[in-house]
Amino acid sequence: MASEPQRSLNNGVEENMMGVLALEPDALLMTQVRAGDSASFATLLNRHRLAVTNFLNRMVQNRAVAEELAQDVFLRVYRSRGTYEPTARFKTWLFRIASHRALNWLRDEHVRQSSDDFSDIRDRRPNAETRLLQEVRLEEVRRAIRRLPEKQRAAVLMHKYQEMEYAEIAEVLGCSESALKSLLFRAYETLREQLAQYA
Amino acid sequence: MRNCPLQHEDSASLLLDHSAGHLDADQSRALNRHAETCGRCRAFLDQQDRLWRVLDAWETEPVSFDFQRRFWLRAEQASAIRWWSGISWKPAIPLAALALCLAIGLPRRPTPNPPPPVDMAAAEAAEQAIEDLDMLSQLQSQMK
Repeated sequence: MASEPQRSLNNGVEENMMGVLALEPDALLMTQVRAGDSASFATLLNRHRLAVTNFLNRMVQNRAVAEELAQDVFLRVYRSRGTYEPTARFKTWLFRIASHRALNWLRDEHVRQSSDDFSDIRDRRPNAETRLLQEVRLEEVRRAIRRLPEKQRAAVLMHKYQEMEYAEIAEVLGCSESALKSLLFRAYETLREQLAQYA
Repeated sequence: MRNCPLQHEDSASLLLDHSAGHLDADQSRALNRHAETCGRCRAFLDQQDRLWRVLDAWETEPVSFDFQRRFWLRAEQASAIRWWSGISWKPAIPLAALALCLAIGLPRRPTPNPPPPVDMAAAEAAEQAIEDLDMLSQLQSQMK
């Protein structure tokens, strides 16, 4: 028989799950995937692949690697469908996995080669968008973001490009909201200095 | 706005939110009013707004057209590997041990016929007799 605190804890978790399910269509889809509905996962894949792949691309700055990492992220989510419990927002969970994957890749890459050489493995595929949108400026933006410490980089990318809220980003990165705000402040300060001539 | 956001850590994020367009109309108006009289905040907002526009140069890129197909292919491969690795090999361990014992035992050559059992009393008597004869021959040589 469960003790009183245990019962209240269980009730809290259940309430949280019901809350997440009520608010979030993604969590609902994921519970359908858990029940064996692959089509629901295809919907989730369609909904988030662009955001996840672009986040990873901006993190690792290599399109091909970013797509591979994005596939890994979705594969991990799909594999854990059997044990999925909607206790957090689906997008937060997804970006938590994506951030870990990107940070691990960057650390491994850092071991493989020095940071100076890192620029040489950038995706140099000709891109119409890049040509049109002032190639030099874009390259400087990429370089400035690449030079940020990894956690600052992830925070800026989620804040600026994914338009995620502070609480969400803090949860993804496993820090407090006030620590995240300080992190972002420092990161933007660095970017303002480095990109002053293009601003 | 009574206090300068740059002097208070809690409200400093308002300046970032302004450039990001995350403030509601009232907050935005209050911050703009404050910035009219605060040079530091005005400079910060100007720089941050410009940075925001520079960062916009890095636009979202499309994902490969076959992303979904590749994903499902990998998911299938992964589940096949998991099926194989999920098999429990524990029941096979005793069988493997038995097979190993047999493999060790089979090539051994047949043992020759065992020698007949030794009569320990007769052996001791014979040994005693040899010793007696030795002592006798030693005694005879001394007497000479």
